[in-house]
Amino acid sequence: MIKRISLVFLLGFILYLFSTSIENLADIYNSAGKDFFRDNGFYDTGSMNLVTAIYLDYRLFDSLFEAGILLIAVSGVMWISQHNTLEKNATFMLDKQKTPELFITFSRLLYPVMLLFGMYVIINGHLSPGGGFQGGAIVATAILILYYIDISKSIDVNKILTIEKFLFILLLSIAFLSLITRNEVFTNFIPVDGSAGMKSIFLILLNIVIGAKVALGLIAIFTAFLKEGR
Amino acid sequence: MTNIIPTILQILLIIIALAIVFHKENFTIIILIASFGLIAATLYALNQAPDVAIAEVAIGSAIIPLIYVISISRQREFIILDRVNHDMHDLDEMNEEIYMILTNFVNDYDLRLNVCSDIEGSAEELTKELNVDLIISYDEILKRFEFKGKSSSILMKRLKEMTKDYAYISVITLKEGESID
Amino acid sequence: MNPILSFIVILIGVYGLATSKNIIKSVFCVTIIEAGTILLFLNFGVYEGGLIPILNAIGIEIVDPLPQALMITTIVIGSTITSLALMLCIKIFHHYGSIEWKVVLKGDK
Repeated sequence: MIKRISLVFLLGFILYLFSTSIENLADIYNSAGKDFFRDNGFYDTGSMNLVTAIYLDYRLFDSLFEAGILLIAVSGVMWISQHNTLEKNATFMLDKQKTPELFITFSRLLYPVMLLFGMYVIINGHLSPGGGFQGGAIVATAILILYYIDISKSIDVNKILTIEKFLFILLLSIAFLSLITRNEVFTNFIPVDGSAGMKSIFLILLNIVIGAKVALGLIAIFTAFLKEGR
Repeated sequence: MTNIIPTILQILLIIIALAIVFHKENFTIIILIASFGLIAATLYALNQAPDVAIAEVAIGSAIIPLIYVISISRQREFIILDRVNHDMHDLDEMNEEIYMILTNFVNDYDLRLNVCSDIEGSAEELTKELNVDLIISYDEILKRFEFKGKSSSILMKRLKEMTKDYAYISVITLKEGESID
Repeated sequence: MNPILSFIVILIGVYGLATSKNIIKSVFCVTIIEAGTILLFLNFGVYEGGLIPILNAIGIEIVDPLPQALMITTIVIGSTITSLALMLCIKIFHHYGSIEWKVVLKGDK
């Protein structure tokens, strides 16, 4: 009991320190970075969405490492569950009680709409809010519904993992292509004086690759959980 | 006037976080988790960040609660595989006593009993592959009931202590084949 | 829009992580800390009258886009780490039979 009260006092002291250090937030903040992105963002990268311009052109290096972390986490989950990768379907989890008919019919109506919306969010990442990571999560949720529609569906996890590894190598090779045309790594491969329309080809291509990678990784994680959670 | 709504939502977020930390049952925490994610996504949208809000809704409302439900759904049951030949009627009395012991044991830990009786396979393979908790069989030669389970489980140790006084029950624990490390 | 209220969410997460008896609850307190951190980062660029960082016409007042790009990667990585932690938690349950910290830390004797 004494430990909990002293923990609360310690946290209150940290809160007091934090509140005295951000009293003059408006004076500390330097707006040079924001002005640079606002003035040069569209002409350098060809995208109207400045957040996509940052994580796909100015800071592509961070996105490569994030794709690498996804790959490591998926392979970690697969190895811990000792999932037999030739195992086909998930009937052992779902046939405990019968799923209601209303649910199955509604999922059949909803599945193509969700898939189409996910692909729209992936491809229009540079013109409106969206992008590769968000669209990949939506597509993964749409394919999860398939487990409920058709109980006897079989998904081969081996193929999914192989495709995901090839997508990561493809992502690295597209990022390295700019060494040939611009003499710099990890940026756009179209030369500096191209038009903004040509530069957005690179953005669409990278968004599709990242979206497919995230979706396949999340599907592999779901399959491992559905088998483990019997 | 328009500055009141973000403040009210942030205070609601603090209240839900306190409710999650101080609640005891696992199943109701999952619903609080989903509502926490939705209110956080609304706050991100009100802070002029629509990309972050889409990512939080897609991940924090559909994928995360599903993973939590799967990982705690197995903790309410205790699975028993019954392999005793029930045609011989002179074992009925001892059968009833065994099930009374098991019911008392399961009520102590707040679990549910789940008895099945038609799965094929050897004992080691079953405990590793299908995660059956206990296998009951009757040994003709020694005239004893045998309970088989994993050796590292805490519940098996407690079961051993509870059945020390009964002469016709013996608890056998199996070591797993290979471990992860 | 208040950085102090976001910091209070972080501190509640730290308190929950330090005093939880369940493995599953302490995994979720990490997610609470992450949500509080994201709110704190987004608060540092916003100001009265700023708009979302998507250009409709060049040269309007926008909010700083750099913290938002960093926070997208934070959300995706947080969800994958949570799934890895929960898979370990399922394996612990199959091995030990319960998910309390005291029981698991004692080991098997």
